Amino acid sequence: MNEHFSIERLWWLLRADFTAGYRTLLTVSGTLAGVILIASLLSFGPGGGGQEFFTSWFGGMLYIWGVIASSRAFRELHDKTRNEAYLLLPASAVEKTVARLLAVTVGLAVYLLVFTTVASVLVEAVFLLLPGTGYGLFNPLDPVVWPLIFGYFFLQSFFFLGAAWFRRRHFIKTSLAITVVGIGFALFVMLTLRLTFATFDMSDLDGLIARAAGSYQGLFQVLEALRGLFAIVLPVACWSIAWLRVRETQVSDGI
Amino acid sequence: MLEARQVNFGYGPDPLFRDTDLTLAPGHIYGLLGLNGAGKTTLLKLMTGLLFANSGEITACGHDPARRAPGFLAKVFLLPEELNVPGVTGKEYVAARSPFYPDFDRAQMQRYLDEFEIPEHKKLTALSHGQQKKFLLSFGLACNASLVLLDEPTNGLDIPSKGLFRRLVAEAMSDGQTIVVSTHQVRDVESLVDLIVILHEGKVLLNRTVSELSGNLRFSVSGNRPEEGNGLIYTERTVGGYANVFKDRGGDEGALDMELLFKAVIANPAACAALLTTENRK
Repeated sequence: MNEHFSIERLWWLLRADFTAGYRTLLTVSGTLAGVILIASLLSFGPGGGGQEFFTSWFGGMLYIWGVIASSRAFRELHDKTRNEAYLLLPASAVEKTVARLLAVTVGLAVYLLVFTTVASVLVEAVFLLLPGTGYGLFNPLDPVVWPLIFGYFFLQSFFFLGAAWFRRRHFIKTSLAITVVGIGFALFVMLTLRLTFATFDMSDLDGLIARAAGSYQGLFQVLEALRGLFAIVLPVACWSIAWLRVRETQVSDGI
Repeated sequence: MLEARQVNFGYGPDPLFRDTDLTLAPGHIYGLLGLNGAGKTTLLKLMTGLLFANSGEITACGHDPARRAPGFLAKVFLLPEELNVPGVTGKEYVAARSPFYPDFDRAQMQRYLDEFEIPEHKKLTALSHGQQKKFLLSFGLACNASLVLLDEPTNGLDIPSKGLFRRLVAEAMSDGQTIVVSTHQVRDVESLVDLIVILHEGKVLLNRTVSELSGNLRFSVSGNRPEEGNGLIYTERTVGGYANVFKDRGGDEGALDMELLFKAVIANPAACAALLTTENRK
């Protein structure tokens, strides 16, 4: 038996999670479909609407639902009455982490693409009964959705880590941690820039950057590449730390 | 099946287990007894890898439990005292969880559910606490795990179910299995267990078969308080007289009063330990 990773066990985990969560999924989806329909009627004008209506809804749902789902990804892990069953389920910590990660990243994104498409069909069907044209169908293959999805994967990694790391109030604590780290990082960058470019005229920052980009083209290319690397490395680091946290979790005291 | 050597563990600075040793052999049903706070549940959690020992070594089913390897977890089932079942039907629960246990027997599960009269189509959250316990117990026994750990399994069971519980556990037991029943309800498991482990103040005070204990000890009730000596180990006032425990090295195996034995061991551990050392055993 492979003690670290098995596709079969991963599939069982995904299936078990789906079995436990499909009722909630249906309830949330039904509610959202109703909200989208009402919003489409309220915001509809005589000249019809744009396709961006559904793209905006897709993005909003992905980020809000996704961040909440990611914050709750390990809800059993810190729940005294449920963590025993979760930790004793015969699967490795990697499999348990990957199963939850797939559900709140790829799984949710694909589900929302399908859901938004279906919702757009329903809304358009309703608009057939009304005068004028509707919003047009949502295109799940539209290139504008990809940056949204990748941006979400980056953001959710922090909340996924927060879900494994913090014992309770995962969403609030993760949001606070991101804010504090963000402010600290911004201060550090500002201070570094101020010290590095102390002799330069900072009132024309755009011109300064443009001139620097011209003079240090190679350096800027490296920085650009580092930014791309950062966008990949940081989420992977967060997911990996979440896995380590799952592996090391013990149940709370119970004499 | 399980070996614990020099295990140290504590919550915070106070140690709960100090250099604790314990051996559990396959083919037995152990009764794990101890006062409140003695560490019975903690010991079960250390055995399953839900807690990690501060030092020492635990080996269960050939694995280090703390690694929580899938191969190990598939051989272990723990029925916790407090239950929090998912909001799924019994059928969904079995379909989702049983693939993880290679020796799970669907027919066996169905038989247990029928005997306990638990409906499989109902949501587990809609069942009473006792029914939830019976459902999980049925699932645990049907997993045919090598190490089955039951924490206060009879709490919340009605009177007929307690008898049924004893029968089903005894029937499900196989030579390769070890079942540990941690309980305060000694009367519920008296006729079920064949070894008794008593935990007290971070140590295993007793780990003996019922047969050994029955052969070495005599339990009696007398109208008057017995004289000290004559092998008296423990006595206590009870309804209608005194309940007593005597040494009885040459006597026949009599009925074992597990509750009285527990009190005797806790009250007089040194005497009980001396009595039950290898050379004194029958």
